[in-house]
Amino acid sequence: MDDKTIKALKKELKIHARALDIPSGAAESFIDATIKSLQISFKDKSSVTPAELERAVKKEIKKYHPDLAYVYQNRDKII
Amino acid sequence: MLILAFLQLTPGTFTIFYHYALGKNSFKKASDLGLSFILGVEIFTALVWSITYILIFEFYKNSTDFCCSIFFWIMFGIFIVEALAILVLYYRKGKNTKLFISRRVAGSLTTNAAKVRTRSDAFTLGFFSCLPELFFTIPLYIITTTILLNTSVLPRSLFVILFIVSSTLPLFVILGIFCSGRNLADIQRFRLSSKSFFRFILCACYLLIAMAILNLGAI
Repeated sequence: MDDKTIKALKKELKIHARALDIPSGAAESFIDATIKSLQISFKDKSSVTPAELERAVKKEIKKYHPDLAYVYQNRDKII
Repeated sequence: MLILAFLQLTPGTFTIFYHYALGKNSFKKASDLGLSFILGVEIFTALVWSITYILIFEFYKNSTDFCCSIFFWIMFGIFIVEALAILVLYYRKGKNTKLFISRRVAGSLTTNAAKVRTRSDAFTLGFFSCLPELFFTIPLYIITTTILLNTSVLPRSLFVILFIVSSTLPLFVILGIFCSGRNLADIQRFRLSSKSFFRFILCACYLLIAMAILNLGAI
């Protein structure tokens, strides 16, 4: 996972978290934890497909906030 | 008239748009953008209604009884086809609320909904979010204008206002749901669980209108 992807992912998750009214401190900490865990799981992979990334993010975020995971997973399946 | 409130494209776009607006802006700014979106939808509805009214007025002025009867039969056919199209095509298969519109258009609407920053962006998004659903809405505009041709100005104006309000009713409901502390996840779960209900209601309404047209044509 490159820095650009991480930055974009972090930004997007923060927007969703704010819209879901999650306190910013809590959101920041579990988003950081999620990204750390993703970096560990994708450490050996040279490239990650968007579908793989989405699945992994959903799985990780679900541990902290199921609504955020649901919104992230369904954000492009609404219309 | 209330059928417009059951169509899903504009409410879906509004839900995504308002979720991102809340994520990027203060509550006040998000509400402001939300109202601009709704204004865009209202202007679009008023504009399409006016154009349809002019065209139908011109058609009736220059047509014979035979033409009118053909017109009613065509409208009957269109409503039957649309009722079937709603049953088969309106929602895509799968555990989602993806609609019949092309994935490119849906992607573009979703991307633009996420990017809205100013009131004019919100207005434009609201205006254009009604466009892909014209296939289902145009016959409704045509039939309502046809019915209103022979009425006087006051009832006609009241009906037009009601028509515009009914097209934005779900947007006000969604705005109220967001304001009551619910979020996109709750709304999407509800939309997903009531997918079959909306499909059934829309199909039934289109069939009922087709039957009403048949009666009108017979008269």
